[in-house]
Amino acid sequence: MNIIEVIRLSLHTLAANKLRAALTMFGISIGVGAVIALLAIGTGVQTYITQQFTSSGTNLIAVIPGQIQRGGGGGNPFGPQVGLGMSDYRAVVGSVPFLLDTAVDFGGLGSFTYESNQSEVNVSGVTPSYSTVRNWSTRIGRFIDDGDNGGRSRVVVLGQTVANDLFPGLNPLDEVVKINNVPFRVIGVMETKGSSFLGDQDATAFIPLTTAQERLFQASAQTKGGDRRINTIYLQVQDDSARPIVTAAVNALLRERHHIAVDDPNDFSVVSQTELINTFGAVTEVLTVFLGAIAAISLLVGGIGIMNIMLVSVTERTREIGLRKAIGATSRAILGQFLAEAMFLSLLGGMIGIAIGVGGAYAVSRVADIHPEVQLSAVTLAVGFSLAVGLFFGIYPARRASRLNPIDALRFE
Amino acid sequence: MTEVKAPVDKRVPVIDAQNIVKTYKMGDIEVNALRGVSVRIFAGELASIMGPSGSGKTTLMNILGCLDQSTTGSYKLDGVDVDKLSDDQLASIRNRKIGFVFQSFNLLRRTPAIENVEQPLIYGGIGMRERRERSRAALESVGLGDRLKHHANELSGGQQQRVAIARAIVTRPSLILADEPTGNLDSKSGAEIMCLFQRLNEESGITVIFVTHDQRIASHTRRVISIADGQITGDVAVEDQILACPDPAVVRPMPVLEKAKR
Ligand SMILES: Nc1ncnc2c1ncn2[C@@H]1O[C@H](COP(=O)(O)OP(=O)(O)O)[C@@H](O)[C@H]1O
Ligand SMILES: [Mg+2]
Repeated sequence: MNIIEVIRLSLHTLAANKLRAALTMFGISIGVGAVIALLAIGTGVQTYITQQFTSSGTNLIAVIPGQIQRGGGGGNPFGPQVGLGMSDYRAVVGSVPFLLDTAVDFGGLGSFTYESNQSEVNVSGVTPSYSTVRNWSTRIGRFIDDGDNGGRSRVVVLGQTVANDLFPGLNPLDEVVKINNVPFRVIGVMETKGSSFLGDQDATAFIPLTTAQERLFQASAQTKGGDRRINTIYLQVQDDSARPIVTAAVNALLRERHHIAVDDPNDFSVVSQTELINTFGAVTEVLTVFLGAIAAISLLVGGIGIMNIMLVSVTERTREIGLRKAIGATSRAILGQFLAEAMFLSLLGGMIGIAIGVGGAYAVSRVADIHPEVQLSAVTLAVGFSLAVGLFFGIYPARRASRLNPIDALRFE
Repeated sequence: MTEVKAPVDKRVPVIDAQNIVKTYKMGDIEVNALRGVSVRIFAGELASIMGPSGSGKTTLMNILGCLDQSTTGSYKLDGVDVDKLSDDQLASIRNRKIGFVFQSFNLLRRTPAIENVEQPLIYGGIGMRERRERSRAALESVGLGDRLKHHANELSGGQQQRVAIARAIVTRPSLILADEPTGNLDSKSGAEIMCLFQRLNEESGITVIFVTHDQRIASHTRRVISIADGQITGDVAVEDQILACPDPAVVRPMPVLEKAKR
């Protein structure tokens, strides 16, 4: 008796019990579908996060005051009294190699008013290069330029959110808004970046660095050393391979400038985009595995469903098994028949599961910002797993069937 | 115990069972279903094994049909020593040499008649086309040529038993074992079934053994082996055999079915 006959026999039996076969199969389909969809969503989230980071500029290194604890959390045990100053910035620009471009910002919270409209966002004082380093330009009007900085001009470039809040439906260009009661002329509106897990990136506004330091936030604009305070130094490195060198150079330079003893930790942090991506990547990888594991449990439950149905089927068909043995079926033939039934259920269930998974992933992409990526490896994994489930949960009932004594089976009522 | 003195015979018996003992163990209790049964049946015989309920008829039939093996004793089927065979070899013997007919038909319910008949051929490794052909021929020979596609559960009891008989003969076995084959049928269907067996035996020369508790059914055969309490108590030739078939003139001749081999 060859394999084709075995498969034909089991298909016949399944066809005689369509509803039951379909329901059993559905259990596996749900499992496989869940595995594929959830893995796709996990991968999509990973891509999304990477994109969010790259969209804020490529090959970017940020230097910020205080110590970021490893494993997340922006603790700042040294307080703001240490901070970074303009002289730190100049020293970095002057001596660190492989820098393509640099920028700096300093700012604080600003209360915006225009007529009766209000908005409260962070205002950053920046140099003109900020726009290129952050890979972010204006939608209308222009960005801060050297003239603005030289003249400590009271001009502002609004983020889209602020523009919407203050000028709903109106053109804000050349209008005068008040920031913390100081009048500023609007010279531009930034392109929309959208919101992400990093927050609403458009809820911001830019003014010249000098204006921020000397006119708007002068109260906090001094470091302990009497320098002009800055919040962030942005360094755009030539390429990713230069990143470690730049990081090391900045570390060495600032440690020396801040007179940090050999064993003491930094009072600043050098954060690179790549590191952030890696950190978040690790987190989302765990997430993906976790989602996959949850889905795998449902696949397991589907497998138990198969076993359950097969066991019922063996009991129900005891007389049939007895008859088959009487007319010449060997134990192997019976084993094969029942195993083929289980495998077929799980395999076809797996195929339908692929459709469900891909469809589910697509549905998610319609409603969320995430674009799930169905990967071949996930599909292979899910289908392989479902076959294994069919084999594992099918073999016990099949063995039971094959070991039935024909006489007992024929006597069975 | 009545020793069956078989006549000196040069023929090889289809069934040659000597001192068969079968003991079932149920926990501490031992049931002696067969207590030394010896029986010889030759090719072409139409015989019945008759005895009251619980006398061991089914147990004996299971052993003769290679569904079970004796506790002690020797059994040769077609000259082959069955006691020494493995499970798979027994399965093969059942497939090639024996056709079973049961009291409760044992058909696959939601399966067409022709596929029911095909089942033993599948296990015999017969190709699909030949399978179909032989199954159709077998069904025609039991008078169900117009019911090939009917599912088993759409047929009457008598028809179902005829499908079962077709399934038993489709492998061209040397021996048909029928355990109370008319037990679930009314007398008219029963008579039809008996007629079929008589003609199978008559026209195709297949050895047919009936197991029954009914003296009347047994009288349709030519030899009645009586069994009681696990022992053979009598072995007689039937003097006036009841012929179940109506006037041979009105019966279609059985087509296609070849003479049983060996
Ligand atoms: N599988 C079994 N296990 C235990 N006892 C059995 C089994 N099969 C038959 N018996 C016992 O063996 C005896 C003969 O049974 P059986 O051959 O079925 O009788 P019959 O077919 O003549 O009615 C009975 O006492 C019965 O209870
Ligand atoms: Mg019985």
